[in-house]
Amino acid sequence: MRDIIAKSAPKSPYLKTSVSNDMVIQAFDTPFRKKCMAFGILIVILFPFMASNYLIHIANLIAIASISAMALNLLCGNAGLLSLGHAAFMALGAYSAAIMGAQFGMPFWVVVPLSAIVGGIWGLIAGLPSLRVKGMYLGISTLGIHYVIVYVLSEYQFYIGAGFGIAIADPKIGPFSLSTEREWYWVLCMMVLMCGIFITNVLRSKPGRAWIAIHNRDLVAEIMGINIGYYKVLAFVLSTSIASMAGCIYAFYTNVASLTEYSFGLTISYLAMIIVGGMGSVVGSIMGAFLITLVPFALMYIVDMLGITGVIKEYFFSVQSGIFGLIIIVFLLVEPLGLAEIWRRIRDYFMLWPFRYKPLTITKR
Amino acid sequence: MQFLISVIILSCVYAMLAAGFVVIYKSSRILNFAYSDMAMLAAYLAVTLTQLVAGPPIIALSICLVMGFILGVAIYALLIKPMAGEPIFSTIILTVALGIVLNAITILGWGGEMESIPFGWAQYYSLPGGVRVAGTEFIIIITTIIFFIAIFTFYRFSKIGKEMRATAENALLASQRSINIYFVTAFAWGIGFFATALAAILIGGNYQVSLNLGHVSIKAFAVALVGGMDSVGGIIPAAFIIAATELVVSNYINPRLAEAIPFIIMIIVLLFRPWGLFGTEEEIERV
Amino acid sequence: MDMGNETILKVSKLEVVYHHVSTAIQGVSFNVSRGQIFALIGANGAGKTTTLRAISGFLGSDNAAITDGQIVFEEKILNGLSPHRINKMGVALVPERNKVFETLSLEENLAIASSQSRSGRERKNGAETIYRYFPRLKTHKNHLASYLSGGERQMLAIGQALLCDPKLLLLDEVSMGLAPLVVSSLIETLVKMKTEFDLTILLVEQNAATALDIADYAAVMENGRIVFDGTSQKLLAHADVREFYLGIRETGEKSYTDIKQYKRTRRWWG
Repeated sequence: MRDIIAKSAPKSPYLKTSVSNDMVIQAFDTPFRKKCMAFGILIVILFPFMASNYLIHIANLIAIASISAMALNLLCGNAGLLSLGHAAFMALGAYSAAIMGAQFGMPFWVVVPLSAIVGGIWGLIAGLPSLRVKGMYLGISTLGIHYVIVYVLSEYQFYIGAGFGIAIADPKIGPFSLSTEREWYWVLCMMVLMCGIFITNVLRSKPGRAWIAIHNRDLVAEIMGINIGYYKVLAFVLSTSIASMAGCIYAFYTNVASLTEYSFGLTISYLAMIIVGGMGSVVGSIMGAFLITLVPFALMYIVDMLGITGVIKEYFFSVQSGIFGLIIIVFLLVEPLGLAEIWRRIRDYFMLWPFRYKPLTITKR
Repeated sequence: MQFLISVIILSCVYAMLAAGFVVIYKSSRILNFAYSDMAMLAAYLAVTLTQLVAGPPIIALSICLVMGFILGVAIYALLIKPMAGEPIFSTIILTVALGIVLNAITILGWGGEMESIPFGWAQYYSLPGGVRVAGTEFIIIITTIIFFIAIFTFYRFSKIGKEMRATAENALLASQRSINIYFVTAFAWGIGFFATALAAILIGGNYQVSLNLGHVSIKAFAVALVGGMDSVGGIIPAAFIIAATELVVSNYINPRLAEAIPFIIMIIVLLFRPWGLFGTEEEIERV
Repeated sequence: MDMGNETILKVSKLEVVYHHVSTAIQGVSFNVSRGQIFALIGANGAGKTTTLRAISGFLGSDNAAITDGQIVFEEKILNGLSPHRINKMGVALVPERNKVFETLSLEENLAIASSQSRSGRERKNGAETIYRYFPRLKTHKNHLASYLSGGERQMLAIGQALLCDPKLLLLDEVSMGLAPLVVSSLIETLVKMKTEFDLTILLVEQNAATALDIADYAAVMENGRIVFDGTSQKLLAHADVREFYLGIRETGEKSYTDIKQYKRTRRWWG
């Protein structure tokens, strides 16, 4: 028996025989996976040379959405703290870009970290209610914070007389300026990668384990000696900082910071991304961001291709949101754990064959 | 004095809006985020029904209310019940998605224009003290009072009301005592949506039916929370407090700040007394 | 085993799985005759409560499922039915935890249980009957059930279950957390009720002595299976039951000063 386990150990994510084996990021632990990853990286690198600017633009949007979705997933999926104010934190980042970047003329590579700090401070405020309330009530309090932030920003916008938004020039890093989609693509890919690795590492270390405990039973976690208040607020601060950075980058990318974009509806989109993608999973966030960002574009393409006119085309926006809502509903009814779970099941089927059940592992609910 | 009447009317509106929300929460512990979109849909539906159905508007409006009830039962049966074992978070997102779908249906069906629901009683009355009240505003106040009295007696004294309270507390035990929990919960959802439709009709009759109805309904969250999410009785004082504060701020300080007032009050309550003014303390542990 | 009465409940090869991964009970089979008091004894985690819950029905949200086997009550199959249907058929469970509705008053608790099958007048008579057996409840008639003491709660729970007009009463850990005097008075009342209401009782207990005292027939569960069954005299005489569930050691009293690793394997055979 032991040698069967030893032989299959390097290939199986469930049967580890050494610490170094366990610490490898799952994407690289077997030769087959290494080849797949190399293939994937190749595609990502070749993509901008083969696709049109329009497609690269979509890819960029997906990238920014991934970063923001990963932030939200950290908070809601891993730490289990419902947050309905996500859009507001992205707005903070966007307006940091506007105020610090456009109005005070600070450079791009200074503004982005500063926007993270701004997001983090507001995240601290937003995280305080989590010390007292849980679940839905926490969600409602974050919703309240959302409205407060939006109000503050709208007052500011009104005050400086910018009706619809503040214009921001293309960011400059030294002599290079980021203006074309392709240039942004490289930068954004790097950022998604760094963010993904960062979050994966955080989840594998002490805060990550604390969050698993808190998510499951925070009373028991507290009794075990985990300072749940600290870790809950930490989750908020990390999540909002990253979200704020995402918003900041988005503002620089689209060259405008406009408050109408950061509505409760945007928060819903992000929640949809992490639910459809799979809560608690970094890869899931990216998959979810991919799917949800793509939906409006795909719909537009289908409508154009089929030449549909009439009431559907007129009220395209509503049709789009209607279908969007339906996708979420279908997903939730059919596979509440999202795309990541579907992926896991497919992977497990091949991995475990001819066995049927995997050994008991921590379920990520 | 006129100001006081406005406050009362706004409180009634808020109370009616919050009622639908609280009934559903009381029975299933679910935040119904489809709420504002449902209200909007009901209002537009009422408009069309009053145009289609001959006779006094009350007939068309009653049909609208019945449809609201049926829709509530249907939503429970199709969407909520299958999600019985899943974490509450998923079900809440489901209601959000449902709201989006309802929103889309409303816009596609009615084009987002402003309409109004004729009650057939467009008169103003002058009361002593120089106060002017519209006939429709009377209807709001009276309907609210009747509705709340009905709901109180229902919950406390009727057989199904007791079953609803029992099911809400411990569904498994209720089921083990011969209560058909599915029926009871479906009924609760029906009543919740009935109340929503009623609130929507009252607003639509008095002001107008437009896409903004949704925004007003979001304040229902704040009212429900401040009063206590599981307390029907708490709605009334909470509605009054919020309506009063909002109008005072709006008239004397800053109209835009008034928009945020319900949420600011909500946050304050959440920080100091998260279970609301009249809710039960154990409620938040149950989440 | 058969006391010459008809079998009212027949459980065969029952298997219950939680969360799709943990098997709680496996291969459980036993028969209960009408009018019998049947006891299931065993340590914590043996699967006794799961058995009772399987008989009285699972709600979809429990993450528990009957994956094999059958439960037949009076010729009708109970697998997969919802709890309220099963209750209407005549099976009432008094659960171990959360046994009463705490937000309702005592009277409302009793009213709810009887409301399904009776008219207003019958309901009142039903409540009066319960008060006759448990006079202490009458003093707390209008109090919220959450204010009741443990013993009163247990009485209320039993009363509630009885008002559902059951033919089979399932009792889960009736003696849990109660003072011995309260337990013995409860047990006495239970036996009286059994005769008056013509009940069959299936009783789950960790307190084997109490259980074997009133049971006609009993089964021992360990790790999700039934390992031994027989009449209560047979169990009371069996060496393993005496050692492990009644605390009566074969070799006489042993002093704590010369305790060694005492490993005596259970010999359920013979």
